[in-house]
Amino acid sequence: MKPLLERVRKYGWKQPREACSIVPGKLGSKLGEYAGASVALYALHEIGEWDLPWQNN
Amino acid sequence: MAKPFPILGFDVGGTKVAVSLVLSDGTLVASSRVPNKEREPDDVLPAMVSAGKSLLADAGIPREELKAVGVCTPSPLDFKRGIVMAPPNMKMWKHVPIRDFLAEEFGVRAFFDNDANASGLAEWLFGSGVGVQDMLYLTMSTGIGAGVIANGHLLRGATCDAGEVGHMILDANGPLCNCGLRGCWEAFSGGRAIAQRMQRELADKPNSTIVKLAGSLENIDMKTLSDAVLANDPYACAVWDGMMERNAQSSPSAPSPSSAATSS
Ligand SMILES: [Zn+2]
Repeated sequence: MKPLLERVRKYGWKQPREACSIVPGKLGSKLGEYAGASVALYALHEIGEWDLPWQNN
Repeated sequence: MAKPFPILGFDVGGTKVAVSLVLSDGTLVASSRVPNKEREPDDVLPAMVSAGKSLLADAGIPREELKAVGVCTPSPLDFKRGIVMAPPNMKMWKHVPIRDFLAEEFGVRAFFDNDANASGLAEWLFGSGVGVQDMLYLTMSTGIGAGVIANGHLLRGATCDAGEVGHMILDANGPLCNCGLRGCWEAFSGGRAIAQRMQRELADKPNSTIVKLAGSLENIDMKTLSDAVLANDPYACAVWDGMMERNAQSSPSAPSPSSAATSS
């Protein structure tokens, strides 16, 4: 069966579509384990108490 | 680099609560689960607290080192006041001030959001979205929702519903949705809607592949559908094809991301 990316061509406006990629989530069964903590970490980031993982090195 | 600090996370779902101890560098130290199927919050909340305290104790982390608590629940919720409103699959949770309860129990700040935003943040911070400035996280489960990262920030919108993409209307004359409107994305592609559609269409077809795989009409779900697709059942393939076409129609209409992460 046709994959999503091929189907999207029919609906997505060319420029934004070509700037995007569609990828599966990486955390899989660990998603729930990270979801709650991520809420807190992002909130701490918003008030300047935590740097994003790619900002602190 | 500063020493990583510990955070307790609670992901409250309709069947269970995932409780986890995570360090700020992304290390998942330990996790456990608290059952939440048809249980009263008066029973579940204390169990969540003791599960969190056990994780800290087992890891040898004194309570005063805990930096904060994060919690997410299904919508609808009152984001500003930290209250769960009564999600469709958690009917016993009516107006529960979960954020402040956890803050008080653990003696730290607690932060709260809906589950789609929380999952989007998790994939952004530690998963497939690491380092990007713009992304749309799509969750395709019983319902359809999204977490939107725009210009390096979580997009909430005026009523904190920015990620509710499941109710974008694809066809105003389409099937009736849970929300009362017709032709929402979720009414075409949501797990519950598809299961209900198959149960309706196969009601008088006990010998169909899907009914046989499920064992009974009531047991038909998305897993049955994907099993039947893998077995090349023509009806299942047609349902799947229609669902994928609606997903393709909707995905580019949701806020334009420069990198999108999806999960199922
Ligand atoms: Zn709807």
